[in-house]
Amino acid sequence: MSDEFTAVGELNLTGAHLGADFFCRNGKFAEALLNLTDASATTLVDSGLNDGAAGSPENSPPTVWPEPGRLILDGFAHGRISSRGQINVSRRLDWLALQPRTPFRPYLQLATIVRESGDSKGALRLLERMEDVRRIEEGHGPVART
Amino acid sequence: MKAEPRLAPTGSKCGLSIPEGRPKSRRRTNPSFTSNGRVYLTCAQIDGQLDCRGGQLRNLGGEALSAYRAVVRNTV
Repeated sequence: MSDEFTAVGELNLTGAHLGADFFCRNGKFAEALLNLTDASATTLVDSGLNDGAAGSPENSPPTVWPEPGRLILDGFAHGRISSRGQINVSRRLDWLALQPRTPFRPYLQLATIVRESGDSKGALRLLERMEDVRRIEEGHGPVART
Repeated sequence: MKAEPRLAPTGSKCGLSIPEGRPKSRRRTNPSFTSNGRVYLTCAQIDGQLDCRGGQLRNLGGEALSAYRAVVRNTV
């Protein structure tokens, strides 16, 4: 689903098992609802959410993700993210925020991947955001941090 | 390739003109293709790759692709 692949409408991949990559680099999902509930793939290959080798943007045109509320990642299991560049945690947090609800599993999953990539601070940021989201959903404020 | 809207019974091995629902070879929908309507791959088992590069799946207001519990051995 890459190279300017375009989707309009719902892409329902609930429970789908991909034995290799979910390849959506430069895919266009702006008019789609992408449902990856309980789907699995070895690697998520996208574009626009990683930094280039020297902190520069990637060369590939970015994946155009669905509008807020139209990306469902709960239970989407993937062992790693595209090896092009360094995972940009801020952009990934914005990506997770596209979900209609804020389930915790995608945060945990991403934190694991980020930690395994060597970015322990980034992993901690993800877990902190997850905790903030949880507290807000429970009617509490975010945790005060110095 | 231009795929017409096609219905396949839920629970069948595969839709979208994939014979016997279990193709052994690489499935290519590339170069660019357009599908207007719903494509069913519900519970499909694809032993190779489902290559949708550059294609378009369109079904405004409905499912453009239903791949519930599909198994694709290689890349999508």
